[in-house]
Amino acid sequence: MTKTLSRLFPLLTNLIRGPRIDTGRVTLNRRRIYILPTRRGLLFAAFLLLMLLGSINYGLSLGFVLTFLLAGLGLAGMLHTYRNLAAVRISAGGVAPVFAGEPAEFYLCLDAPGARPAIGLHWQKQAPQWVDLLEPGQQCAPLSVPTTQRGWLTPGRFTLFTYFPLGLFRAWSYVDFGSRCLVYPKPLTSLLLPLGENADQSGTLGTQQEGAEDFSGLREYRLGDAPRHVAWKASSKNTALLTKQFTTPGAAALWLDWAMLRESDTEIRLSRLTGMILEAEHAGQAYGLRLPGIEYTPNLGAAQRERCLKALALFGMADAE
Amino acid sequence: MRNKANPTWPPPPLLTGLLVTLALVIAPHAARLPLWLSALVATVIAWRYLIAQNRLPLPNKWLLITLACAATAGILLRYHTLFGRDAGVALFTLMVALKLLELKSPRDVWLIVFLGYFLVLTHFLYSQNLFVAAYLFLIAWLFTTLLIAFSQPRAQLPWRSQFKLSATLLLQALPVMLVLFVLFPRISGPLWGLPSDAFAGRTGLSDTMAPGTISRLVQSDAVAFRVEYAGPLPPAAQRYFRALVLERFDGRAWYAHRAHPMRDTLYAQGPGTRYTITLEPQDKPWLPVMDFADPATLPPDSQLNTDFSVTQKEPVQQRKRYSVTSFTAYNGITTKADELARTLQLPATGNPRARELALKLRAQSRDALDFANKVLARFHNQSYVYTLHPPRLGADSVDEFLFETKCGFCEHYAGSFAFLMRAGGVPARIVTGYQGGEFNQLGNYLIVRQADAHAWTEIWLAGRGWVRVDPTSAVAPSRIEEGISSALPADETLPLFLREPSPWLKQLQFSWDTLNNGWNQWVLGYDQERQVSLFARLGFGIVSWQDLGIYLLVGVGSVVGLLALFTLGRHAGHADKVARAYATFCARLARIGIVRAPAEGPLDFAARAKASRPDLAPRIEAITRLYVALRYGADAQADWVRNLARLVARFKAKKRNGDLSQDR
Repeated sequence: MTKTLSRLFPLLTNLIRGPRIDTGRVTLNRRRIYILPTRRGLLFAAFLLLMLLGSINYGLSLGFVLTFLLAGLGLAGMLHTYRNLAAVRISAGGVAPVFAGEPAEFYLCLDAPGARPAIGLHWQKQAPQWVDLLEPGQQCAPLSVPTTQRGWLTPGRFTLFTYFPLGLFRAWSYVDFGSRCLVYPKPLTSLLLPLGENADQSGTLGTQQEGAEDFSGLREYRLGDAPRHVAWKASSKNTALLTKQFTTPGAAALWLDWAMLRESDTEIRLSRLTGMILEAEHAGQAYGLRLPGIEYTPNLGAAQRERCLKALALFGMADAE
Repeated sequence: MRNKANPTWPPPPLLTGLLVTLALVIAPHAARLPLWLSALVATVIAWRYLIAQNRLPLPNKWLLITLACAATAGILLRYHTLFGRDAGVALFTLMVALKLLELKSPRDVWLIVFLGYFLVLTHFLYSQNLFVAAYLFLIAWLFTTLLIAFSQPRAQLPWRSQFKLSATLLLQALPVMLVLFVLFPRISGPLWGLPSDAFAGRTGLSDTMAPGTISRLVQSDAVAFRVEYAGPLPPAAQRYFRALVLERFDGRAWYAHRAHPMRDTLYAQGPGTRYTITLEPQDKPWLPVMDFADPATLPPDSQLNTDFSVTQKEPVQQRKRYSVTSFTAYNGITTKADELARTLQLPATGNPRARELALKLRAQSRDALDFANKVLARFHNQSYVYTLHPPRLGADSVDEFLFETKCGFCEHYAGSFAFLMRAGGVPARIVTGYQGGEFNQLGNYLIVRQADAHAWTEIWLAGRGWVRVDPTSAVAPSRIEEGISSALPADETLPLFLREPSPWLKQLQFSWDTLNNGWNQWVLGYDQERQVSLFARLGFGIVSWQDLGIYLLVGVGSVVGLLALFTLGRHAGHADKVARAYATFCARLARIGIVRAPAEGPLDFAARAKASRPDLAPRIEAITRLYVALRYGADAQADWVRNLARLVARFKAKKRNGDLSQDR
């Protein structure tokens, strides 16, 4: 019953106020916090009724005392549950782009003027993340949202809830910062990189990697980077591992060209291109991307990767920006 | 909420806490439960502990079902029912124990804790004294702490803060409890029939008297009732509290006659004694009163019987408080022929020597009174002994007692005296009740214990009616005057409580009993009657259920409202604290003549203040910066508020000479 009600509630409020996009930092207050007894709370009430009947029947004065004390406990618990969300401040943290099929992790950052233990955060029916605000300062938690297709993912509102301290009541609230996550196409791997018109004829994956000789800079370590390319000295001064990047000036850049793929299905083509970009990045091979209407000149590194993947993610979509 | 298949759930420390608390709540029941059930519960608790410690699988469902069926059958065999107090408690305990063996989700924990709260309640069926109450409310505190602990799926607050939070919650529940306790409409009597065992095991007088009944009762220090006198305390020799009258004798035991309401008029002499008795529940219908109770002052639904005893329709199952006026001097005339015939009844045969003695003494006496005195003189002069441990008596118990053993307790003396009277043709009957009692100066009331149980006799004298004769006073006069402990021989082994304690111990006992009495009167004795009289005294007049319902809603509503203001206001109010601190700061500056203009921003104001008082500049700067950060900044830290308050508290601005209202 409480489940249905808790779903009905926001529907009603949306109907009255319209969906609301929060900006900046939201402070939860009376107008945003809902509270209802949990199923356990109802069971507790049933137990209290039973205890009351027992006390009346056997004329147990202390039975009355205990029953009424527990009733008071339930009410005090209700106030505390409400208070556990009250004045909590929430702001949207970042969200990193993901490939379709991987869960997107939207960060929500919480802080409160006092201790607020056991606050759950979740998106729809995903398992909750727990945040315990016990010390001053902000805490962020990643909220997982599953992805299925490329493009912008707008998950809508997130739920904050708490059962603390007694589990008899559930207080909850919604925040919707309108945050969105860029979802890249699901990468499909292919063994051989199709070579564009300007490509060096000798190039397969393996040989090109061998030829990468001239140090050109550092980038963040990615899984699969050869350990001999890790810049250990530089990494020790940095928080993340760094990998040395090399370019082979002799080898001409690789062109990843939409037109050269045989597949007819757009999504599969995009997935192939995505896979190729990852492989080229992995191999340290500079690459360019040609899509109908878009051409990115060959390059290597995070910026190039992001630019290209974004183009693929939003290819053919109306809200390209 | 959490993954149900998780083998590490519940966290071992929490589970241990739950098991310990359950053991604590079940422990006082252990002696009352069948031995096998107590053993089963202990095993289950230990088993569950081992399962959690060693990450063993929970027992399978069929084992649990078999166990449940077998144990339920065992309970049924033992109590012949599954309902009622004892069987119900056994069943509940079993349920909790078995639920432990399938505890795997948070929902089970909550159910177990609720069952635990219920088990706390079941203890009150057996005892509601202060110790029990204190112990059980501590356990309720533990259970509440467990709920808090289990409400935190990830990190745990330190135990100390959890205990503190749970205590806070319970303290905040107190006002609601008080309102509900006072205002919840009480009804008298049970909603449905009480199971027969509801009041089993209470000590008290019974409606028969055989040798040994009273002396057994005297071993108990349980309080029978407490008496508050409106006037001075009557002397011990007058403090006879009549419970019931036994008329029929079968050669060994005396039995009560069916009570009939008194219709005759009695003639009281002298002033009455007004007193209030608080009777402990004894599951018997009689209400002890001093002789003889004014029927007009008796509590409703009770009656004065032809034998001057007072009974009510229902057995006294809850502590009962009643006020009565008694006339210690009275004329107990009765002319009912059948009553006189009943009080002369004796078995056709048996106790021949006693009958012979009675006839002999009666022949030597002028009248019935003289005859009675001769029998008493025999008790007094011959070597009769007053003892708690008389030898066992055979078939002709009166003969054996009078001529051979000569050792007895009050029931022996009263019984044989009544026998002799009847054998001599004088109507006589046995009265049982309580005599004496102990006065508690601290609380100004008389404590009458089961140990003060007594049996005496009444004989019928022409022209005077029923006259009380206490044969015990002929043997051991100090029993009547000073109580049982002084009347028994010195070498008698007495129950500990009957020995004369040291004065400070006595004082302690009295303080404790006074506390207990208050507890009984105001907590345990708060019933419909008290509720009605309380409201009448408060000026509400006679309240109806509807009135109480309204008061109840208003009361609980306002208490919860106040609580909400208190709990929510205290923590959500950082902004208020900041504003208050800044207002204090402005007021201090205003005192030295630097007054903030209504529309002046804090930074402008600070600049002006610093310019006029460069000596205070660093402090003004610090306070203002902190204030602005707290007010308008995004990442205020929790301790900033405290820092601001501290800075403002230390900010003492003193006037300098000559700069009065320079800035105005």
